[in-house]
Amino acid sequence: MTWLIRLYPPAWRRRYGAELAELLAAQPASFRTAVDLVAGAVDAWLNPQSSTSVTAANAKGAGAMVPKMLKPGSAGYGANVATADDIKKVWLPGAASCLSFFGFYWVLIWLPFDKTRFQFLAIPYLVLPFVGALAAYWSRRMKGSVLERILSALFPVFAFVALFAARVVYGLFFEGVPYTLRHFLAGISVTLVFVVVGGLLLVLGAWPFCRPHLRGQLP
Amino acid sequence: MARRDDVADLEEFGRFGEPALLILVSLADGPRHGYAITEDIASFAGVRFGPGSLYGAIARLESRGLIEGLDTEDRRNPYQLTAVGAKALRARLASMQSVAKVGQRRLAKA
Repeated sequence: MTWLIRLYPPAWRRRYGAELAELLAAQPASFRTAVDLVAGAVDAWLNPQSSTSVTAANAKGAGAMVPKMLKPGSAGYGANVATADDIKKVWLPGAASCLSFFGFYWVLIWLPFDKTRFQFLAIPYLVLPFVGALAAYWSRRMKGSVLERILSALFPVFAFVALFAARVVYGLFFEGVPYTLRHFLAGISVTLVFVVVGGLLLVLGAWPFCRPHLRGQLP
Repeated sequence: MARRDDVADLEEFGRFGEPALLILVSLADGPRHGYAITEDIASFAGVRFGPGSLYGAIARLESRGLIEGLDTEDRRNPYQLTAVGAKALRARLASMQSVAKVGQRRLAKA
């Protein structure tokens, strides 16, 4: 079960990984322990300051100053890791928003609706502001900037564009029937509508979670 | 007031509040490593926290300077209570004690 430690952030693993592995070795593996570890890993990603300020303090030889380093905004663990952490502030909440949107869409497809009706096609759009809000909220929890929060919210748009690109490649090289210009134009029109309308709805949903940060940056 | 600040420190731990308090109580008896803390808490409180919860609480306590790790050659790093941690624990226990007294007094009247 020690492989679950890999789910934790690198800085956290450097500090507590060996101890946690020792503890896991000393007790029987169980489903409850696995769930607890996964929940702990999610918490460590969402609250990086709780596990990394000590590492930063030790690196600077300032162990006694640990409590003072817990002020918001002072958390960090070196330039290299900080850069990786900035990226995580985008793709982790972004992946969550993406999963929420496509998960909702998947559930919707399984429901007994008349799927040819326009109202059915519009339902996924209605959920986009909430998905955007969720991504921006998570990114804010991870102390992400306004840009990082908006990029997180826009992840379903990026995924949709990537799916379209994958569909074009599949159609051109793997599908039995020829992939015509008509197919491409139909696909790109749907993609453009999703990018414009979906992107707008996602940013509208995300915006309330960006504003407090903006106010904080004003002089 | 200093006491209220210390109490608030533990309250902001969220779901890690209870494990954090019990870890502080365990370390009040002397330095211990993770496994020994788990066993000690199980013996005096009857609860056994999972490793994720335990180290989530330890990370928070350490980052706030309430406990500190001792340098050893062993992979099992022991932790000890700091002066700030002892003060926070004292304040928390006093707060709990006063609530318990009020509760017992009211129950006795009922």
